[in-house]
Amino acid sequence: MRIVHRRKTNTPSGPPELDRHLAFQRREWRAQQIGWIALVVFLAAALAGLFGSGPLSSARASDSGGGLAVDYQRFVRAGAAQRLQFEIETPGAGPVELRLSRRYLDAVRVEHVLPQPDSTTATGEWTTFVFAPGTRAVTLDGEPLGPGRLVLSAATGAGASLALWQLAYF
Amino acid sequence: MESVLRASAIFLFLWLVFRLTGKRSLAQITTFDFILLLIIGEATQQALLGDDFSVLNAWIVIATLMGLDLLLSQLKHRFPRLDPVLDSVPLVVVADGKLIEERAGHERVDVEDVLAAAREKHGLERLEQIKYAVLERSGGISIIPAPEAR
Repeated sequence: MRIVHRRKTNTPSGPPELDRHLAFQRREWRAQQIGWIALVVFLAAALAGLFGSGPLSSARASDSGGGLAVDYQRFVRAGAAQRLQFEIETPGAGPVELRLSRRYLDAVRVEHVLPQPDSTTATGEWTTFVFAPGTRAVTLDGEPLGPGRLVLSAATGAGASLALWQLAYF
Repeated sequence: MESVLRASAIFLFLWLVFRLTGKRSLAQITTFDFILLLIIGEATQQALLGDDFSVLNAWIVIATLMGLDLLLSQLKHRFPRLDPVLDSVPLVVVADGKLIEERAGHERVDVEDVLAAAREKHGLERLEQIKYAVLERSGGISIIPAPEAR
């Protein structure tokens, strides 16, 4: 009895009607600590680029022959602008042709294509942009319309081609 | 459909974050806390509405938020065991004039916070005049004075 009494005076405690919550309170503290760790992991992932631009997200796809390459973000967000930067090498002196898969362009609202193409035609699975002779870089800004996986196939008139995927968050 | 999902996602995330930061998260509104609250509101607003500024969309978002709030309170009412999970529990941080360090530390409450509440509500000056100080679920501190201090 005496020991119990002494312990009680050393560590004060509240009235029983309130301290009955203590077991839950301790579980809550543990859950909160786990939650804080989760929050830090979430922020670290965001900084690393798992949810948008960042080192994990920046990527480059290219044709093995070197005729076409594109810098892009692997992880993008629905409703947020993202940029594709194409590099095109064309052997001849004629107009430069860039074909993009329609499925991709259906899922992305294209805001700008720079330089402005001389013509744009949609045929079946492809949308073809024709640029002035000598064009070597094309920038396409667009917003994914919804969440999900986006697949882009691209090809040049000279026969170089590449494919890439992006993941759009909500 | 998208508006409902959007509003639900924001609602759940806000609930989770505020639950994680503990009872005291924004209980004591300092000037900076007030600004922080405004900024959180600003950051939330765009995601809630998207690029649809129609009246109907605002109605849907408001109805979703109010509906979720109603749903949670109904659930709490029907399943009392959910109550602590959703709203936490009160915690005694001072007993018989002594600060219970372990509990206060977890909730980031210090003697000054308790004394401030004691001064404001009961005109008490010292910790010994407090029988119990309870950190309530709202984040406020309620004081039960010791009998001799009355």
